[in-house]
Amino acid sequence: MLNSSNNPLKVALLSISPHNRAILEFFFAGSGKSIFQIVAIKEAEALVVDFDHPGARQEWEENIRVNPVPAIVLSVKECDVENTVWVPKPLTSQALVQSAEQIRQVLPDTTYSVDSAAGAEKQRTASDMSSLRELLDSQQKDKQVFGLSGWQQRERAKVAPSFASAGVAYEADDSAASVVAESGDGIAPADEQLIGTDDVYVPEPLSDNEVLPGAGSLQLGQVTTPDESEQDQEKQQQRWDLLCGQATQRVTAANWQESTQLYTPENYLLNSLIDALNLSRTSKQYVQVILDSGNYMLLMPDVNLAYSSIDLYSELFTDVCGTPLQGGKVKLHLPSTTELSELEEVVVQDARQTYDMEGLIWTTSLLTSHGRLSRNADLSSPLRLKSWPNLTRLEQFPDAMPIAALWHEKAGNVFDLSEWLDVPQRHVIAFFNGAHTLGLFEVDQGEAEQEKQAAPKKNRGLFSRLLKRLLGGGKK
Amino acid sequence: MTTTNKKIIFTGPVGAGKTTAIEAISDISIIRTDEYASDMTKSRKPQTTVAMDYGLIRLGENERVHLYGTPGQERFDFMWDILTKGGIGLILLLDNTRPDPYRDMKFYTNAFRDFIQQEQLVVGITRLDLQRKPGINDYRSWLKELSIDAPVFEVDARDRSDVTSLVQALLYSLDPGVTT
Ligand SMILES: Nc1nc2c(ncn2[C@@H]2O[C@H](COP(=O)(O)OP(=O)(O)O)[C@@H](O)[C@H]2O)c(=O)[nH]1
Ligand SMILES: [Mg+2]
Repeated sequence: MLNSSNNPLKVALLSISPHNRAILEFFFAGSGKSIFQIVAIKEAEALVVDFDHPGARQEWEENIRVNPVPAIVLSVKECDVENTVWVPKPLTSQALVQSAEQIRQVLPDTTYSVDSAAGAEKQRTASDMSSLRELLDSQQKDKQVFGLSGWQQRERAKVAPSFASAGVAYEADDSAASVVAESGDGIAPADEQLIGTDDVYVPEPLSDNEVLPGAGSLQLGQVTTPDESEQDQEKQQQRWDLLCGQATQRVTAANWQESTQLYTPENYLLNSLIDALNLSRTSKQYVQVILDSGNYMLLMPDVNLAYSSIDLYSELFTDVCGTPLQGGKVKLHLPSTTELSELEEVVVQDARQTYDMEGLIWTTSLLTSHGRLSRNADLSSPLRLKSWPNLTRLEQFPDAMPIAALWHEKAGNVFDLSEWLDVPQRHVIAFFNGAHTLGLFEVDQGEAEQEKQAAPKKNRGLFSRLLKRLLGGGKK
Repeated sequence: MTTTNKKIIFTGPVGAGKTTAIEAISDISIIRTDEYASDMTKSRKPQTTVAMDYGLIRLGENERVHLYGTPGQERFDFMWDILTKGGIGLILLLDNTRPDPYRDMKFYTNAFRDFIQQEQLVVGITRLDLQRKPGINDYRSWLKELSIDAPVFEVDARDRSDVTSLVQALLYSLDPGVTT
């Protein structure tokens, strides 16, 4: 690459929408500064043209007749034209930078002949981008994809005026720095200036009109989730004790089997619920779990909801979960169409006892295990959390977030995790029981986790302050 | 004394809740900023601006976490990745009521693919209260299909504790050893 000098590539922009021009200039002025330099057409080593812009292609053709320089073509459609490098949209700065490299290779003073080099390069570009092109193709088939849904369009139309006025432009200020175009070293000192100066427009608060379709919308907003703010601390601690047990001593891989903190999941309601969950997921049907007291749970797999005739936060539910069942005390039932419509009525009327389906299973699993380990589990193999539990809709207990994060990053067993994270082991055990019941673990594939681990953790102090701030409620 | 600046970027389709989410945790009222491109544009017309939502969390005297919401409409033409400089993580909000949330997910994870590889992604699914399908499990498997590892939570952008959970997941993913 004889031409791969340190000088920026001199480019001229052909017709392009003001918006796109703005974005490109934004980039050329900032992190693309050393790569591109915008010049007049006569001095340009290459042209930049947006083939999706009306008239741009003709303009390009006229230009190269007079001055046959290569061009960087921006387009959603693949462009297979001689002496051009196609940069598919959505644009990325990396793709633009690469296109500059490719252009350099076809410039006259290179050892390649223009045509063959351009051809070869284009081929490479085309194959590199095949997955992207597939994506773009699929997106083009459906023009609606990135539009608004019908409801939103109507709602948005109503509020459009307030947004339009909020977008008011303000005077250009020479001191206004760009946060993102700044080409320094990662951190954005320019942010300082942004906040420091008053060249920011403070809009009206968001309009109330934007808040939601009232009548006629689905009645599913009622999924009950624990509201910690209403519980005083003591109550919260009591609940955590139910979910996680109260053990303070750590068990180890060597001694857990002698522990008194063991249970057999198969002996409890939990087991029937898991069967029901699997049945409902495979059959895609509603499944009812009926206790001999007449109480029941209804699993609704199509909407990922579950109804329980017993309140999950009641003492009765804790008892039902924690008491081993005699054989035949629970049955699974596939409701008939008539039964279903009756059940539906109950569910709608009693929406407070409708829960996220995983949420019901999670809570049941925790109340059942109560901080104990399953007697039959293989606890020595390292496991990895393949997906995070949906923690915003599951009943909470302390340390679930860091446990999930570490277990997702690094394979280990319950005992490893308790050691790696300095948190009460009962929290790790509770997390394990809940997530395991939901099928979120996988056996470790023995990937090279160590490398990821090796990187020293930056920012720990700041992260910790940010977390304290967010969890403590802060000013908001 | 030097000030430390960190940046968290919120992205996703129009209506997914980016502005609302930033509002929920920002110390300041949300600001609609037009970021000026530097020097070159001063001599040029028309004005070069890129519109973003902006919020801020101040930590003591000299630490700031800047919250940016990406502009809504540009899609193909926008160079998303130029927004990521100095960012520690990306929060992708997806609106469950849109016609094809999977395509939305593909679009945004593709647009930010380099950043996601280097930093951390967290996904929040909004408006599940209005429409329960697809479900969280579908999003999990879609991410797997795209070979992306990221926490996925159901959130309501109007609920501060949900938004806080997204940020928590981001920070703990970056460093599980953080303490509070
Ligand atoms: N029902 C419902 N509305 C939501 C949810 N999240 C956000 N919204 C509302 O959706 C609207 C659009 O949110 P906005 O923050 O403007 O979206 P943006 O375009 O991504 O910035 C606002 O009226 C929000 O209050 C949600 O989970 N459920
Ligand atoms: Mg917005």
